[in-house]
This record gives sequence, C-alpha cells and structure tokens, in this order.
Amino acid sequence: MVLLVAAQCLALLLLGAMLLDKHHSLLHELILSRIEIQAEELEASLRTAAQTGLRPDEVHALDAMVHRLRDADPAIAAIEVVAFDGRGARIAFATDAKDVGAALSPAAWRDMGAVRGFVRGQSAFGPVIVAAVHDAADEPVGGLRVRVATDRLQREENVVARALWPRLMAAMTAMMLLTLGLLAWLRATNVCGVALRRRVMALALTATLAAGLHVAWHAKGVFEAGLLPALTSKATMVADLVAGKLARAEALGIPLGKLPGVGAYFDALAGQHPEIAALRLDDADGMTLARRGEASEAWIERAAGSGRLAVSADRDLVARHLGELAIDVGIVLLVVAVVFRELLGALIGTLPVALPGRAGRDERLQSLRLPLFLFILTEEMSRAFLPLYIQSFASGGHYLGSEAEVGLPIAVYMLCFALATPFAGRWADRWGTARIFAVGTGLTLAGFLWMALAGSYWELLPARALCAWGYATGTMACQRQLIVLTTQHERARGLALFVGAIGVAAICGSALGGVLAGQFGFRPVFAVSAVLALLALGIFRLTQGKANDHGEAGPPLSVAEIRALLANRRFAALMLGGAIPAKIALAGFLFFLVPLALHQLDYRPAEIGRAVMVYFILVAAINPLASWLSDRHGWRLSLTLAGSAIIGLGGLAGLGVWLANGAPAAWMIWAGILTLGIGTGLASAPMQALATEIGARTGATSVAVVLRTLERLGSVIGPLWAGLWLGMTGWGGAMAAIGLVVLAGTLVCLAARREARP
Amino acid sequence: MRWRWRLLLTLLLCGLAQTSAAAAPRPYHVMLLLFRGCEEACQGFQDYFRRQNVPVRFTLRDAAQDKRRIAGFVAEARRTRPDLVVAWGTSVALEAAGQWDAVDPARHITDIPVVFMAVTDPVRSRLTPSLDGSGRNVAGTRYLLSADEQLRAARMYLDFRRVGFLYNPAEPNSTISLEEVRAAASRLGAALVVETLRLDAGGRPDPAAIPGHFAALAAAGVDLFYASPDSFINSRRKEITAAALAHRLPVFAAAEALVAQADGLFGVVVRYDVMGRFTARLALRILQEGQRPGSLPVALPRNFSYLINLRTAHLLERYPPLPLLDVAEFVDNGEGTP
Repeated sequence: MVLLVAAQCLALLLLGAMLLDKHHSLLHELILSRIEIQAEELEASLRTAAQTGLRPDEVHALDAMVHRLRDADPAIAAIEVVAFDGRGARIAFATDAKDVGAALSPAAWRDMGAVRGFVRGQSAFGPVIVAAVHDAADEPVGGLRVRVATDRLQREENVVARALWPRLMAAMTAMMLLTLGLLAWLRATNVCGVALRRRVMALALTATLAAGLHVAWHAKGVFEAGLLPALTSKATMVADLVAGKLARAEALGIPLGKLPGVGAYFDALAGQHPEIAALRLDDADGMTLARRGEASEAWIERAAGSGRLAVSADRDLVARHLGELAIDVGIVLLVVAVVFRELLGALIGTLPVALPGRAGRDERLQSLRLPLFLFILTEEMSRAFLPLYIQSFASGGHYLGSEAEVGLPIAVYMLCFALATPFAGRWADRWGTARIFAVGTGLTLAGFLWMALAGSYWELLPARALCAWGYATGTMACQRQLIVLTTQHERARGLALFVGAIGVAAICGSALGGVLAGQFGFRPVFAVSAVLALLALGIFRLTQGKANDHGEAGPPLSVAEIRALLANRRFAALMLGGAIPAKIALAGFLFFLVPLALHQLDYRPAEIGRAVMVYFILVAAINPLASWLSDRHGWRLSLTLAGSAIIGLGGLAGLGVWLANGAPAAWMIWAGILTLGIGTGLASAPMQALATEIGARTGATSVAVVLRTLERLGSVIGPLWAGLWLGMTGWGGAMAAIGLVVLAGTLVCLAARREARP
Repeated sequence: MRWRWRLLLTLLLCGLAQTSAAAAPRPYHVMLLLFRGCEEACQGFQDYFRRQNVPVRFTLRDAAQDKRRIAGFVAEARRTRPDLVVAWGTSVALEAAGQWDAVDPARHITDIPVVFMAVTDPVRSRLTPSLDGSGRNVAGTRYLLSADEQLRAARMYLDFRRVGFLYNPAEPNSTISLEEVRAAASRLGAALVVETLRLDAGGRPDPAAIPGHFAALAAAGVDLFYASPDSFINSRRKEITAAALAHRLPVFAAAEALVAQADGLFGVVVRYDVMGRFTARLALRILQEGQRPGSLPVALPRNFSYLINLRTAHLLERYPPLPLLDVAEFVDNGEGTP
C-alpha cells in the first residue's frame, strides 16, 4: 500500500520537476534569444570593422555601444569585447571598467576564435553568449562575450516555483486520500485476483492522472503570467530591430511602398523567432503595406521611418511548449502504469486474501517479476545516452580516436558481461540465489555510483565492468530462482515471464532514462539506477525470503561442446552469419551510433530515448508473429535470412549519406532503427529455433548457452567496429560498414540450408 | 665519445636558436611586382602584415600598365633574392613564374616562392595545373566567383528570364565566360541572348557600336545584362552601363568597377583590399609556417561584397528587397564608396 502511494507521489513530483524545468528552459530561451538580437548589433559593427582591416580595439565607438546595450536590457549583466593583435588577446572594451585590459589565456582565446555564429555557453558567472569576429582573410581578430544576469532569472524562477509547489502538495494530498479511501472500499467489497488487480490499477492511475492534469493546468496559468513580460520584451526587441531596418531603407531613399520583399522578410522573422505571432507594416496614411500572421496579443507599435511597424507576441507559446511536454509526461505515466502493474503483481501475490489455497511457489514466481524488472531497468535507463556521457569524458588523446574512446567502455561492458554469465550461473547453483542476487545488486550499485561520480575517462572502464558483472550475476540469479520455482512443464511459462520483464524494462527504461537525463542531467540518472538496484534487492528479499535456494545445476558450458557445435557447417554458418552480425548491429548501431548521431542532430535525450524505445517496441510486436510463422510453416531459415537482409539493407542507407559526404541525416538513422527492429523481430526467434533444431541433431545439450555466448561476442565487436569506421568514414560510412557485415552474414547464412539429399 | 660531441653540438645549436629568437627577428623581404600601381589589393596586402605585427620590408615595382617593363623586375628579383615575390595580375604572374608546363629556368623565378593575386583564371592561364595546388614554387588566390554563384546571387535581387551577354571575339577570356554563363543561366531556367561585339579594322572591338548592341539586346526582350570580366567592357564601363540604362536594363557585373565607378546596378564581388589581405594570409603561411607553395590550394576568399549602386536603383526604380539591405554594400550614396 505504501509502495503504491509512494509510486504515485513519485510520478507527481517528477511531473512538478519537469514542469519547472520547462519553465526554466522557456525563460532562458526567451531571454537569451532577446540578448542575441542585441549582441548581433555589436557583432555586425565588429565584423564590418574587421572586414576593412580594423581590429576591435581600434573601433572606439564600441565603448559607448557596450554601455548603451547593457543599459537597454536589465537581463544583461556584462558585455566584453575582446581584441587579438597577432600575439595575444585582451579585453578592449567592457561594461565593467576593471575588466578592460585583462588578458585572455591562450586556451580561452583559442576557444573563442573557433566560434562560428553565436554560441551559448556556461561561465563561472552563469550563461554567456559568445561570438568571434573574423577578418577578410577569415582569421579571428576578436570577439564578444555577453553575460546574462542570473540573479534576475533566479528571482523569476523562484516566483514560479513558489506558486507551483503548494498546489502540487495539495494535489498530492488529495490524491493520496482518494487512493487510500478507495482502496479501503475495494477491500470491503471482497473482490480478489485479477479483477482486484485491474481495479486497483485503474483507480491508482485515474487518481494520479487527475492530480497530474490539475497541476499541469495550474502551471500553464502561472507560466503564462510569469513569462508574459519576457515575451513582450522579446517582441519589443524584434519590433525595434525591424523598425530600424525599415527606417534605414527609407534613409537610403527607398520609399517604403516600393520596398520589395517585406512580406518574405516577415515570414523569415516569424520562423526565426517563434515568440512572434504577427507583424504588420503601415505607411504614413495608415494603409497596410505588408502583414503576416494573426495577432493574439496587443500590437506593439514602432515608428519605421515615415510608416509604422506593429508586432504581436504569441500568447500560445507557453501552451505549445507544455503540449510538447505532454509526450514526456505520457512516457512517465506509461512507465508508472507498468510499474504499478508489476507492483500489483507483487503486492497481490503477498496479499493473504488474494490467492487462497495456492501454493507459495506460484506467488513467489509471480512476485519475482518486479525485482527482476527493476533490476533490468537499472541498466536500460542509461541506454539512450550512455555514449553521450562517455563522450563528455573523451579527449581523443589516449592513443585512441575519440570514436574508439566512446566505443571502448561499451565493449568492455559487453565483454565482462559475456565472461561473467557462465560463472554467475554456477555461483548461483553453488551459493544460492538470494545470496548471489545480493552480490549482483551490490556490484551494480557500486558500478552505477561510480558512473555517477566518475571524474575521468579511465574510471568509466572499471565502473562499466562492475555494472556488467553485477548485471550478469543478478539476472542469472533470477533465472536460477525461476528454475527453482518452476517444474519442468511450467518452465516455458516461467521463461515467458522472464523475457516479458526484460522486454518491458527495455521499452520503459530507455525512454524514461532519456526523459530524466533531459530534465536533470546524466549523472542523476545513474544515481537513480543505483537506487533502483537497492529497491530491487529489498523487494527480492521481501518476496523471495532469505532462503538460499539451490537449483539443479544447469548444463555446464564446455569448450568441447562449442567446438563440436561449430564443427557442424550449418550451425557455424548460422552463428557466424546470423547471430553474431545481428548483435554487432544491435550494439554497434543502436547502443553506440544512434545516441551519438541523434545528439548531433540536436535531438534531446528524451527524444533519443524514444527513438531507442521504438526498436524495442518493434521487436516486441513482431517477435510473436515471427515465432508463430516459424512454428506453423517451418520458415526457420527463410525468416532468419529475411530479417538479416532487412537489417543489412537498412544499414546501407548509410551509404547514401556517406557518398554525399554529409553529416548524419535523421532519415538515415530512423531507417536504421526501423529496419533493425523489424529485422531482429523477424529473425531472432526462428534463428534460435533453427539453432536448437540443428544442435539437437548433433546431440548437444546446451545450444542456447552456446548461442548466447557467441552472440555476446558480437556485442563486444559491435561498438569497436562502429567506432573504427566512424573515425575513418563518418556516420554514413560506419552505418554502412555495419550493414555490410550483416549482409555478408546473410550470404554466409545461406550455407545453413539443408543439404540436398542425393 | 662521439655521442658527447653530438650532444654538445646539439646544445650549442639550441642555444644559438634561442639567442636568435630572443633578439629582434630578421624582417622578411617581400617584393611586390605590380601592373597598375599600388592599388587597394597591394595596400591590403601590406596592411595585413602590419596588423599581424610581422616584421617585413617591402620592395614595390610598378610596370605602370607596360608589359615590356615586367621582365626587368623579374630579373631584379632573381638577383636580389627576396623571401617571397608577389605577382599582381595574369601578365605579371606569367612573366614571373611562367606556365607550369613551359618553365624557363633562365628566365622565370623557380627557387623563390611566387604568390599571385588578381588573376582571372589561374588554371586556363596555365599558372597552375589545378586549383588544388601548383606543385611548384607558385601559390596564389582567386577573386572571381563562378557564374553559377553570381547568377544565383542576382536572383536574390530581381527575377530574370533572358540574360544579355556581350561577346568579345578579340578576348579569349570572353569565350570561357560565355560558356560558363550560358550553362549557369540554363540551370536557373533563363535564356542567354548573345550580341557579338563589332570589331574595327584593327581587330579591336568598336566602342561606337555599343548603343546599337544594347538596342538589339533590348529588342530581344533581355531583362538583365551580365557584364563579364572582360578588359574591353571594363575600360568602356561608362558607355556600356549608360547604354544599358538608356534601355532601362539592369546591369549585373562580375567586377567591382562597373558598379562602383559606373552605372552598373549590382554585382557580387571580392573587394580588392579583401583579396590583398587574403593573399597576405597565404604568404604568411609560406613565410611563417614553412608550408610548401605548391601544396597550397588556390582559394577564393569567403568574404564577398554584394555591391548595389543606389543611384542606378533609383533611376531604374528597381529597389533591393529588404533582406538584402542587411548584407549589401551601397555605393554612390556616400555610405560605402570604395
């Protein structure tokens, strides 16, 4: 009961944090883009001077200009103009007199000189906007830095937070009371089993949803009130800018009525500044010369030469942004719903009224799902952004290329996982599942804490290794526990439970992790993973007891058996051509290339998470169909080949981009994700069935173990292979290299055909 | 014992290098071979060295538009051995460095870096086999945009369907330009109307025929005149732009002078001082960074000027669209007269 309410509260708190973060990013965007408009004026003066051979420090009018700009906008804390004279860079003009003459370190100047256009960054004093100025020979000769007044931003954010939290608390209290009251009523009605679970679920979800919607609606009002001044001041800034341009045209002797391209210019402006809903230009007689958009706010009017320019801000901006947030919130609610389902499975399993007269074993089997689900979630949470996190440490200086640097920790993880799995199984048999699960969660906990606190690149390798050992140990403990709890003929159902939990965790984890990373940064998500590991251990202890069950030892994996299996031409072809390339594609493309490429395409972590989720959903959706087809029609090899070919051809989409020698294109990545999902969904079950079939004919007992072990080899190769090609040929080339491996594999797979009988 | 000697020698050399670096460095000696005086490009070149605080001594030699004087300057350069020779224009560059497949070591400079600028087409004039690098002691810069880029830029200002072109049979450059513009215009869906300049008895184009040519172009429905980088068109820019104006025909020019010093409406050009600075940057890469001239690409500066002659715009009542006002440089109105 407590857990249920805690999960509800967690969802609501998460919603509150996401709303506040949205407000923060909206406010920052409004203010920074407004400051950028002003900085553009300064940059244009510097650029014009530089083109005619003047250094920034030789343009004395800039001194008055920086002060005028700062005084015009209270959101600007300071402006600095930097000049470079061929030897060193120093501050030539600044709003703060004591900064003038200060030298920039060579590194700071290198960073500034490399900037193209306007770049937003963080300094010790908060957000800054930086631009470099290049001379006629395209050499950097100076730059400018505008510091944003953070105390002001902070004040506005505090106002909103103070308005939002009490409402959130009230909604939370109401939700808790409602849930508890209705639960009490449900108990009184004496419903049990599946019906009870369904009703509790519906009830808890409805209560959470209602409270969430209420808070979101309230937030919309608070945000609109809070952001309106910033919105109006941005619109005013745009109005000043455009009016200035129109006045200049008239000063050049161009009559406003004969000035072409005003409408197209308005269109471009509206596209560039989404905060602007409408623009209008009237001549001196009040005749409208050009007009774009529909005004949703009062017109802000400015004299533009002899005419008048009017600009209207877009009031619906806040609502639109909250609408974008709805998808993220939807993901959170989806995950909450799934966690509820798992929770209820566990809770009702332990409720004395729920399952009268059934053996305890079945309850324990049902309730094994939740700790397993949570445990797998720990790893899946960081799936969508792990390469980005690693990249933030990579320096490109460790004898490796920066691409291989990103791939290495992922490959280390896969390698440790592959090495640990056989041992973990044997340990569980020897020391008991409860103890080994505790060891697994302990290792995972340590690994994720280390990941969260890592200070250098090399720390990531042992941290990932710990996570891998922990993951292997924990999942094998669960698998052995499952074997303990099921009889031979129940095992298939038990395994389905196991696979189901993995699938659901993969779908939820990547998406949820992405949302959290987008809101709070990467490190906190690792901390959340550590907490989840702890939670998984607690629930395991609670539901499975401390008894150390010893399962029957599984078939030991022997090198001799692998050798015997691989000596079979058909089996070897299936492994080399099907199983290993499929995992190379999964680990190399989805876990490595996709997050990096989508990040480069300006996808937010939440969106990357959703993209990765699409793969898991496709596999989950197609897998049953492929199993059915494979069983009913015996299309084992043909489905394997078809799936493999689809993955391979999808990878070739990268070839197009590579030939065009361009940056990663979104369509290319999506084509890869979709084909990988469809192909894997089609191929995985038939391939396993075929492998078992062939293996059985050779008298092997541990085909599945051999298959998994070899697959893991592919997972190790994947990130390294992708990293290698990424360094040499770019995104498209790396993707095509993976596609070619899979296609080549498809051809090798053909050798797994049954030989024609003479 | 030998290694000790070697160590001692190394230390000694290091010490020498350091003392020479600590003292004021020897100024570079750069010789500029010019064709029509030290104009904006020549000044921009020198200014860039000054701005970068590079110690340098310049020697200027001006042919004053007389091709016969160039050979003497080249001989002087071979004798005095400056650190680098700058050659202004195609004629000077060819005299100084020769065609890449016809170098005469007795006449051309072969062991001092030669950097050219203001050369219309370095590949067709055989200064370099390709724009990727000359493969010899020659490097240089370009200053003309491709016809494609120029016509696309012209479309930002006004729309056109029929482009007029004056073909000069006396100048090989004109043939090259004609083919380029024809292809570029057809890519933009415009037709090219060509008038061939009438030649006089001496085989030179006849300036008296200019009004007639423009009457013919106007009669053919031309709505934009493209002035190619041709020495006849450049020298007769006043007559040519005036004739176009008489038929209310906007002139788009490939070179600065037709807009800045005549009545051409607009053009997208690299300003001469920009070209000079850009070339100076290239020279410094050879002098300071020790790069081999033959491996440096013959590049075009990234900074173009969209020149608009406002007086002509007023006369034609064809005003630049608002977005162009941000990027354009205006001439003839006191704002940006070159």
